[in-house]
Amino acid sequence: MKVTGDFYAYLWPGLTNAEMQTYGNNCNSYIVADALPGGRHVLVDPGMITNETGLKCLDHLVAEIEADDLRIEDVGLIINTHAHPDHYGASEEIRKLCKSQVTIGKGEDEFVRMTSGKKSGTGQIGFELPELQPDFYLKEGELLLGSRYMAEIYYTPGHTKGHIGVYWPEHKIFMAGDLIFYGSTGRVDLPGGSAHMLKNSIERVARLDIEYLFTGHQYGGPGILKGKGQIESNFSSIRANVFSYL
Amino acid sequence: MSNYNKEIRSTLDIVMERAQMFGSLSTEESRRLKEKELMIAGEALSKRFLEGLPLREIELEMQKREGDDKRKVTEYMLSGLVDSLDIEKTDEAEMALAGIRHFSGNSDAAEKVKTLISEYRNVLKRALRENIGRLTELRMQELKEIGICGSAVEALPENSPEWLNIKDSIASDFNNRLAVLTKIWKR
Repeated sequence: MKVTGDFYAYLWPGLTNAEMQTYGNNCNSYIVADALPGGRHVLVDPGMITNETGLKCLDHLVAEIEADDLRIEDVGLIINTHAHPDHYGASEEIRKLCKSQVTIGKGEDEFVRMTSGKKSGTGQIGFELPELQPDFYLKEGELLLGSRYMAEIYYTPGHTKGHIGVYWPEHKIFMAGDLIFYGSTGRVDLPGGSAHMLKNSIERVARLDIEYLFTGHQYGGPGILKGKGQIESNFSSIRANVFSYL
Repeated sequence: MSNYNKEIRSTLDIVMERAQMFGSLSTEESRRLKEKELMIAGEALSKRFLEGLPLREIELEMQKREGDDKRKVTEYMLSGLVDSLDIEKTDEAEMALAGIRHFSGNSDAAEKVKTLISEYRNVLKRALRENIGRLTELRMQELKEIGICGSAVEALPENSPEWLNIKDSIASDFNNRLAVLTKIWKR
């Protein structure tokens, strides 16, 4: 689904409880089309290959991308906002299809080392994690893509230790991963989580000039928040209703 | 006759055929079958040890056998542990080594393998230190050529094909040395 300009959104169903139960967990994915030379796209958070309900999430994503007249084979860069399988899971599979570069925040390097070579990851934590072999890391700063796009990478820890957000200043779009959703925030009770850091990260992001907030999930609310009014009111509501429970 | 009965009869036939076959096996064939059984048991034990089964449990399994059988299962298990040694997977190699040391009783040879693993780690670290500047520059240049650059980009030379080639070449040399050292435990 085209949102604005070259920005496309692929929202995993979850607007209602019934949808969440039927479709299970997976993240929202986003594409910036033709962002790289040679007409190659940037894909943010590819999601899983198959989720806990047995749904083939990657096939679903590929079909949706094709419905927008884009091709998964043209992805040149995969940016993962953080190292949770429901966000990065299909990265290596997509890399095989399109020989893309794969990246993630530098703060997730501990996790990356653990999963490099599936077997070591499996042995240490008792279940199998998808492999992730980034080609480079992202840290705070500017990410220049070809001659057309510049993104700003924000270090937004709290949900995970090395979580990042991607801000596109020209289009006032912030890709938040699992930092913030409609009416709620990312969990802080998983390994690497921190309520204090999450609150700080949210306050930093709240100061940005954002017209479109692209979130990581539709947990009973829209995956994309549009317009400064709705976005500011969402930040206020989270401060008032969620912060004290974190 | 129901299909169910047919099935049972058929299974019975198979059992009878096998019983007859065993009765007519030559000494050599019986020996080979026995050897295969011991090999499977030994390899399964090495696999279970590498998956985390404690040494004490492995010993209990071993105690179920006696004499020559016990010796052979131990040898096959050791052989399985040796086969799993890979200089590039140093954590797993150290685990296999703990089993080899325990069941072979040859702590000198095990110590030599341990020293080799530690030497490999040091050589690898030194090689990365010596090459990291050049590899980082090369990687940044490659990324720039495909349109990716900026202050947010931090090259990861450890995952670059150039570093993987250097690493493979070092590992190949050390794996050859490892094979020589572990020959004594191979069946």
